[in-house]
Amino acid sequence: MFLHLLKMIWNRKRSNSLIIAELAIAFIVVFALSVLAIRNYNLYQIPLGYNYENMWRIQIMPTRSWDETKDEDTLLQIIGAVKQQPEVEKIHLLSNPTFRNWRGTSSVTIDGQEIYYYRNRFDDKAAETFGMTLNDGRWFGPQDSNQNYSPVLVNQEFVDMYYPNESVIGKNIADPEIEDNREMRIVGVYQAFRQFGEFSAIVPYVFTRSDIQKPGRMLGIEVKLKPNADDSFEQRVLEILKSLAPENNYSIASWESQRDRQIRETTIPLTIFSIIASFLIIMVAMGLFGVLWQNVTSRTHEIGLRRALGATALSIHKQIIGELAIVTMIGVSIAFLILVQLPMLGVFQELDWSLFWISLLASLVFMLTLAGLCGYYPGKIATNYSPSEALHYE
Amino acid sequence: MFSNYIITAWNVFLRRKFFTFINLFGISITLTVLMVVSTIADGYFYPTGPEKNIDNIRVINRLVLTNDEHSHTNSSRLGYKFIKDNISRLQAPELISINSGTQMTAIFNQGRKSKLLVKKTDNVFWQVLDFSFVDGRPFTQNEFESGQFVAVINQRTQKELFGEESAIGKNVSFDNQNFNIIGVVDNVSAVEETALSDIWVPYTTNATSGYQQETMGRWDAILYHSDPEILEQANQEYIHMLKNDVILETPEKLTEAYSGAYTKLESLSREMFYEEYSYDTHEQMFISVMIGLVLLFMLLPSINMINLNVSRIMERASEIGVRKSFGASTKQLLMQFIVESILLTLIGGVIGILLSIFIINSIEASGIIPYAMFSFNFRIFVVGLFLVLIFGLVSGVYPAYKMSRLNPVTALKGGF
Repeated sequence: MFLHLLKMIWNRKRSNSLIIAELAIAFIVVFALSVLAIRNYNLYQIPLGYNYENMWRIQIMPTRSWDETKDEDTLLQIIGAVKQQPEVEKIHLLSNPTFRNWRGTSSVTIDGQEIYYYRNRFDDKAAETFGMTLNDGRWFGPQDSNQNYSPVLVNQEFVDMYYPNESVIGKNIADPEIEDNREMRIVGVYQAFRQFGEFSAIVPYVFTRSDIQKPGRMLGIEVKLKPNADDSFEQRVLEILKSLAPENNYSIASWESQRDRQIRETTIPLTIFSIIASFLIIMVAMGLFGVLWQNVTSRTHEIGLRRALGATALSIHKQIIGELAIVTMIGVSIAFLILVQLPMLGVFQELDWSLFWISLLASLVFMLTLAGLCGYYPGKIATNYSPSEALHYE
Repeated sequence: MFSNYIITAWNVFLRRKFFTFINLFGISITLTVLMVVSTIADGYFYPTGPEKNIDNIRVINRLVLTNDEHSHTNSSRLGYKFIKDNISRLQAPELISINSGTQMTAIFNQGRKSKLLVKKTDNVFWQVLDFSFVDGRPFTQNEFESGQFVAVINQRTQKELFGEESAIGKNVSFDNQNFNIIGVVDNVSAVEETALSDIWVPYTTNATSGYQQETMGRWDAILYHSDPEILEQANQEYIHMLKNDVILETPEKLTEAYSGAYTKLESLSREMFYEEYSYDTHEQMFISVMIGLVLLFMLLPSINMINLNVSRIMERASEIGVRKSFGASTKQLLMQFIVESILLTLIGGVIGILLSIFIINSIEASGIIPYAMFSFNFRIFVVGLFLVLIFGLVSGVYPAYKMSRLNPVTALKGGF
């Protein structure tokens, strides 16, 4: 049966080749759409690792470069002034803000292994206020002050990626190639801190310590407000800061508003792409339907002959759908040969094998369903021909 | 003869309504997407607001500084000092304007908060860009040099802060400074990045003069000349200056500078094919990639159309057989079917244009691109017509060719 159908497709290879090309391209579009949808859905399901409710960031935008001696004092004054506001519950330091793409990365080679990570800096109590979860070791604390090492916290992904089967507490991740480099000692492992928001990839992430009494270069303050704070807080703080240090500009934004903005920035292009892709797929579906319909009409005598020789309506229907399924599979296989290059050559870092196979399966099911739906009605017409009517032509 | 083809085509379209619908659906959706993209691109490259004299200006807004070994590199907008030390020395441009990038600023008006963009500029800014003033005037050289607290605002700001009343003579305060409003301009579309802001004030009103010592910072320079040809020379002059006698004072002892006075196309392609240590902007490559993407996008609808047209024509095998036996030449038949395809794509094109106008209006209304005002013009119409013809030809030629080779005997029998 299968070989027979294949032979018939081969006999009509001219007209089938264009349909196959169309199906192959359509499959690539469906695949792209499912990769994006599945990846973003999966990422959205993973917890952020912190709470953003009632958190605000005061961003300091200096008009000149950081001055070691003067600006630390200014920053301490700013912190002191903000702390006195009645709405403020807690105040912390965080170098790279949440829900923005400000990043610092480092790459070091330790024992022949390249370790690449994102880094950030916060103060001792920040993790607690942010609602982060500790998996191993401890948070930063006063015992880390005036030591001959710099303490660091790493996320679970860092451990899973670089030291999957050992305890990392006490390890030194300073760059061994730089002489006299201070030891960077891992003191704790936390679950996650997804700085770049819900749709970002899980990356190895390292926190270094900032002492709130001696913060160094910090261009932002994180404030936890009591739930009833309003716009007047913002206005008051901006005025105080501007008179404290007029050489800087300031902006205040809640984490939540940044999060909304980031989600919008991610979903708008995705939505536009999905709408266009859906139209393309509807177009292909209708095109297939039209071509099949015409195909069945022009093969009236062939079908009539089969009916006259005793073929049932069901077997005719099976033939039409079977042929279409095979044509679809050929198109999908061609698309597969192209698509499989992507994870093989590592074109997109985000596209790993598991995502590839899941998306491929989802797209395959979708395409076959689509082909089935497109073939159903033309197949039905074919079964309606009575042999005498169908053979009438000759 | 020609009108006969059109009448036949029309009747065929009506006879097979479903096929016609599928065809039109495909054509119009594809064209809509392409037209919307080209309208937005057109609005970007040929602005209609303050940047409408786009050919007379070039913007310098990116600077890469590095040392000889490229081991330490800074890349950002320009610093005020760099502009004063280097760009001010350029001979070719007639006018050079210095202005800061925009800053989102919270403005409180009777306890209500507005988030507005503030840009700090010089008075030359109003000469190099062609703002249309609804009310009042720009600030003068005198006001700029003496650091007077004057501001020009856009209509949105006027409405947001003062409602329906005129803002001229009133005050707007932010960052603990109080500015007297002397001018109101039309809203500037967000695609005109150089002109864009809500409020413009002289940069001489800055609270401190720390910015004057910065080599890297958040400043832009706009070069202006009434003759576009000379602007290209200005760019050459600038690059020559960067290569040979750039003045740099940085704590890190950076010696090499990479930058350029770019057109909008050049800035965009430079951002896309970013090469740190180069003066090249790769706009040829950018254009090729864009054309490639458009062709790729048109591939699927085209194949779909070819498939449908093959089916549509084969269904008429007996008609073709009759015409052939009565002596119609291959050329005549080819002509007929190509006219049919083009007629169909034209109808699809009209639907596509109507749909695009609708979508563009919705984009404008939604505020995804703030203050965007796109207009359909002759350029876009030509692009649309060109796309329609390409589409009609691509999808019509192969099926017509296939049909014209039919053997009349088999065609008359109704098979092939």
